Amino acid sequence: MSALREWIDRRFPLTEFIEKHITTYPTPKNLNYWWNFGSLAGVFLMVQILTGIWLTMYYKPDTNLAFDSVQHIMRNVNYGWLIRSLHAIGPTGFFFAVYLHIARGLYYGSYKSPRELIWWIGLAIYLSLMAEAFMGYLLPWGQMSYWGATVVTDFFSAIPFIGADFVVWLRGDFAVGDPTLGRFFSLHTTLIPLGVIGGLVVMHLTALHRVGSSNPAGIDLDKHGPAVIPFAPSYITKDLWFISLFFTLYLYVVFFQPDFFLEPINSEPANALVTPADIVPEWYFLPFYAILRSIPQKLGGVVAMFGSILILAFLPYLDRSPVRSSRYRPVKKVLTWLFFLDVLFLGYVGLQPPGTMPLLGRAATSYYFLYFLLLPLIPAVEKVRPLPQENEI
Amino acid sequence: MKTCRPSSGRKNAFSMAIMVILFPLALWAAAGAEVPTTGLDMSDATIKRGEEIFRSSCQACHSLKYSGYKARMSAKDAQKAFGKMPPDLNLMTKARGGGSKGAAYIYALLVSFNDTLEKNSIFPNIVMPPALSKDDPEFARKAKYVAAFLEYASDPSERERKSLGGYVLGYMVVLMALLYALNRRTWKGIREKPS
Repeated sequence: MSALREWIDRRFPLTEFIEKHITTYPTPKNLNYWWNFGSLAGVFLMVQILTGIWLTMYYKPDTNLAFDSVQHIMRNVNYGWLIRSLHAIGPTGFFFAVYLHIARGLYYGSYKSPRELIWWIGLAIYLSLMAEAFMGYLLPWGQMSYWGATVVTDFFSAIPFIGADFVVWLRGDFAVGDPTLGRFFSLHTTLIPLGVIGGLVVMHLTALHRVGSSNPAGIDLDKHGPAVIPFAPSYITKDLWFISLFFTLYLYVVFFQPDFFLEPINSEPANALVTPADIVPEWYFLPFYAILRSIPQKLGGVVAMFGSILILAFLPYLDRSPVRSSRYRPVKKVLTWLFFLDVLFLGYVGLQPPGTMPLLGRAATSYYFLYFLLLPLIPAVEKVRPLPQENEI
Repeated sequence: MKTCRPSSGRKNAFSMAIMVILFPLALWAAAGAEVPTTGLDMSDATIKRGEEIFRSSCQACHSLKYSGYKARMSAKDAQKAFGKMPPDLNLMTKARGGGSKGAAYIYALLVSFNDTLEKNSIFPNIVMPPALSKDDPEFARKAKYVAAFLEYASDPSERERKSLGGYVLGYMVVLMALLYALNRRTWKGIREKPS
């Protein structure tokens, strides 16, 4: 074995790579469980890619065949029901992990120098993930697939002057149809997951391994100092047991409640002549759907919705405090918790039928943006608590 | 200066709490516990009886395309009689909420024909005439059989899924416990180590 290893290492930096990025990668020893959601998201990405490859073998991207081919997978393909349920419920776990991963970055100031690029690449992953989930949702060609894609592509008609033409260009037709299904299938199965998301994840990790993980204390740690340990074995086992915990929950849903996160009306084939009573997005889009609806003007709503995500990119500049972790920032800590509750409440508002609780929705949308406007002002009024020293960690 | 040392005791308590919540859930699922949303009699006999009634009373107009049942009525005749083709019923219970909710929809629809023939009291807009005779002493029971059969037809892999799921969750619980124990071991002494 070691002769083989030597043979390879002379031609390819295998041992060097494993040591640098896994076995001896220096990791702060004080990471808490909020630092576990990145690897969990990575595992969900792998599950989605693997199950997706198998689904692609049987799925037919044709408006006349798509719906039936999903039922063919559910009924006739060996363990097709399992592969399809894993793939349909995976995004729930994936987005859950990604949201907690982002929330951790927000709370512990992980976006601050020198980790701005990690943060921006992460946001790009999140945006591509939303596009990926949206396009994948069209493929079963059910009623909600069709009408969800119709509503979302129609957002772009709000663009002044070119909006209407742009929507036709996006759909490849005047209405969502066969060309739309074909391009969504192609992008969903090739370019976005393997090219864009895969490439961005590699960049995310490369940038992370340049500067090292942040930590709950938010102080810079010497890579050879007492507060840092090698990634293996402690963090490998910590990640593994945590992943097995969430996969137990995930597999419980897959085997015992496979329809829980699916819309019943998507069991009816797409029908351009019948609009469903409520067009509801998947749970992971609900807060942004609520922001969209809280602005009573179409263009304004669309701008607010995209703006609510893009504004996260400005965090490294909006937050001027030299202290990273909210642990030592009493004002930011409270405002950030309120922000998390606000996002949850927006999700609840997004779930309600249109027109209900318009004022509360607007108030929640206002706080969402107000949080980012308050960030630059906080340091002026905040009395920061003393930071720990490295040898105290 | 020992002010901000993270307490490892608190974190162990957190992981223990998660284990305590998850273990009973997983054991319950592993024991093959019936999921509460399906409070239906889904025995072989019920499904078989429902299938027979479907063939004699529903298949005249409705198909089950994925289960190999074609509607006996042609699309042309259906157009003439009802103005449209009666819907395929293979996924109807799923489309109406699935499980006992979807089956309850089928049951309610079948038993809601009042004395005025061809007017459904719960679904006044449907054009479907009564499928089961009200004079039949088994009227309500037959509607239940059909509902159970259609629920089965919407998800024929359900039994295999649940029985396999028990083993999978049992395996996951053991795996999780082992990985948790392993993790305790690899962290031993790291937090407490004086710098």
